[in-house]
Amino acid sequence: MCQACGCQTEERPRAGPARGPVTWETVLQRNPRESMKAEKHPVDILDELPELIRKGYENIPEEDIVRLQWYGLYHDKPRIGYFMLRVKLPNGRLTPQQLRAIGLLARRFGNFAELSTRQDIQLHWVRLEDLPELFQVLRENGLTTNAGCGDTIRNITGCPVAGLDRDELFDSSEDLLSLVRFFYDTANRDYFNLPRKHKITLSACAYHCNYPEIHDIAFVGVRDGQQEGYTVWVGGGLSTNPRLARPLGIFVGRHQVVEVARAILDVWREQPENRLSFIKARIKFFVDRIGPEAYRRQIEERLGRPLPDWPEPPRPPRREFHTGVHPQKQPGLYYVGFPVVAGKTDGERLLAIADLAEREGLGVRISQRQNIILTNIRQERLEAVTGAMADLGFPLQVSGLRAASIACTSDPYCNFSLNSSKGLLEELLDHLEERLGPLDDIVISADGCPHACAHHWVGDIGVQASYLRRSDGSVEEALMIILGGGYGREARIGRVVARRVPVAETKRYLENLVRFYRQGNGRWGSFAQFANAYDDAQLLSIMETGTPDSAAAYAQSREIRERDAP
Amino acid sequence: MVRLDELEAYQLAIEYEDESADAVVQWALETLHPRVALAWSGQAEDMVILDIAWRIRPDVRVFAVDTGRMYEETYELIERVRERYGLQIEVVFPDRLEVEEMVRQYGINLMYRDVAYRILCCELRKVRPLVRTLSELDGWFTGLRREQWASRQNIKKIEIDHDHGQIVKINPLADWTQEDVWEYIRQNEVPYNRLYDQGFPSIGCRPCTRPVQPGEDPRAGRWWWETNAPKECGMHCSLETGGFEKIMEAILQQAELRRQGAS
Repeated sequence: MCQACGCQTEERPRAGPARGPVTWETVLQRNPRESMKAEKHPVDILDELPELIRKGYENIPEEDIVRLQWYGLYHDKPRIGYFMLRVKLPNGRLTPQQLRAIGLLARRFGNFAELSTRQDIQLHWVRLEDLPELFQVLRENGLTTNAGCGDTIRNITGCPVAGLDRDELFDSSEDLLSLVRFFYDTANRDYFNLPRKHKITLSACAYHCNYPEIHDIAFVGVRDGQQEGYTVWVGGGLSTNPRLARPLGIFVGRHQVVEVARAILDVWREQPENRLSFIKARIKFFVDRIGPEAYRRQIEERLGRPLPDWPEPPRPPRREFHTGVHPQKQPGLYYVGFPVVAGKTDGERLLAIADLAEREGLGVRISQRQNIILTNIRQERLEAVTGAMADLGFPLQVSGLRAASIACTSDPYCNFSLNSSKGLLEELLDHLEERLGPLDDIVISADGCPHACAHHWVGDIGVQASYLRRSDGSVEEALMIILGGGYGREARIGRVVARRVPVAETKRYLENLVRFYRQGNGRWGSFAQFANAYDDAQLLSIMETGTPDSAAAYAQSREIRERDAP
Repeated sequence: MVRLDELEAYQLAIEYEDESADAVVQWALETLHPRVALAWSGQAEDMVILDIAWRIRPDVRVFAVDTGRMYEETYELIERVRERYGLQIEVVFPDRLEVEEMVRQYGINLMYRDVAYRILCCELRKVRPLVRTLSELDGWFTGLRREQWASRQNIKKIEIDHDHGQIVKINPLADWTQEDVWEYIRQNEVPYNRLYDQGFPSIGCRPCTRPVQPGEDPRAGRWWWETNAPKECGMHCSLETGGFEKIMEAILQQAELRRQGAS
């Protein structure tokens, strides 16, 4: 009740933005990012680049720095004029020559390159004045950063060994490229001004290695006798409100993917409600609101025809990350997935890999596990190629845990990150392997913030950077532990089982957890099934004491979390 | 002491995104009072939040950093608040030894001579007293609005403040326009800083704030003589590394020596 006049606060004269039907005018008033885009389409900032460089970084209005996101630029930490540049590789595919070009660039900029979790390669320490030359090199090599960041269609991912893997339903490469040809073209300006970032994936991989379940739009390859095409899922996405994608229950022919993607996007982007607030603009919130059945109807209305049904969402038989040696469909040829821990590498090594690929006549792919895959290796050359890669620091004989765990960009680069998740991942891998030996069927997701670029909601063991605040104001680095999540056939959003666990204790916790799992000798099936066979209190007890039964341990842990450390 | 981690704050931000400023302020007061306070600098936004919060809890805590270089109209508004609301704004001052040393080294109006000196002056007179005050709190209210700067486009109504010890930062007016702010002031007869009637688009210290002409960029009202600096003073962004830190260290060392000499 209002102290001033005794009214209920809701009755006071209009306090703040009017609530009511949402119009474009409301959007422009309430969402300054929308008015920024309306004032000058970010795609046009490229024309101004010479002028911006002439003015100098400090004199450029912030809005233009934001517009540069549309060309793959994000501030490195701190925001003083150094940028991350994201080179998009559709389906993770690049030629040895392209790899060489990127390697040369990486060598110039701190000799650092990272493989992202969406089949991009990211450089850091780029300044505005470096851009004209950078963009020219990329252009000359058929590489792009268009829509690398910003409210756009991000890199379109897929199965990196499309066209090669023996188990794929069909070769989806051309279909993915049809999406790329349309959505990477800045002439299609409407699709460079979406309510928010948008992630599309397409594959016919039998194992769903490209995680359709966590994408905004997923084209999931299906086959029905002679008929090949895709069923479509929408509204997946992680971050703080994680969602699995919802099946639309439709079948789309291979030549129809662009048309259907456009219809899905048009329905979403043309409704002003979806642009009211930046933090609720992802398509998953729209799908929450209207549901997949209504969405399907609106899409069919757009297309002017009903779409065939595909009622049963396909489930992959098992998990597969395409690491290690695999025979290709093409007789006598192999592809090999080389682990790149936390996706960290450098210009020198990329150049060496480019040389190797060229010498041996190989193809190069980046996988969503931040790894490098070399393709078309002749059987008699396998030993030489894997030996050469081992010499470069990419040995093949590592555990599944080390090969397929992932970590986000984090410190020292990302402005959102609370820690170095790449460094943390390496520490966790070392600790667990030292105490427990090689571990093959578990993957860790290490994230530095809630945005979940490394999927901490669906990895077997998810850790997200957090902190412990003490009553004297001091702050200690800590972690949140998420368990029970899964990919593919076990797709599920995990649960936060422990909060504010100091790093040293996290190592002990995870050691106890994995040891307990291993002692079960596979009786639960996968790690995800194990984590879902116990409740949070039991899991916490296992981590704290090694057994699930200690309610006292659980209570003690809770108490430690709540009170101040000495 | 109330702690929120990153995830909890993000989830609350989503939950409260569509709620009114009243609801956001109410949540903060219920969860964090008395260890939450409004950082008040005489802006129109601050008066709106003060009015909203006071109606929910008349003993809401409000503090103001008196930099020592404020406009008289701002001091006068502090008085009017006491008269109108019965609310005593807690006024905090910078460290006298630090400021005296700074003036001794660089002059009283150092801010006009170099961006580094201006930032040093902001740091000692404004940011440090703020940080001291925040170190005793679990959360603080600010009048930040997304419309104000491109770097504020994505602020949430509830978030964790990484620049100030991971306490909660509450921005209840995040999605308000300037018109919304003045409409509220008008409709609820909220006292406001008389400088606005003289054409000031925002309120800061006397040396660094001036009115703007109609049609002029409102940002021209702050630090207008500078050509190469970000238009924030450190309160709402991490002070970026730069040469001034070394100056600052030297200043502090000197102040410390004097402190020791004095004791």
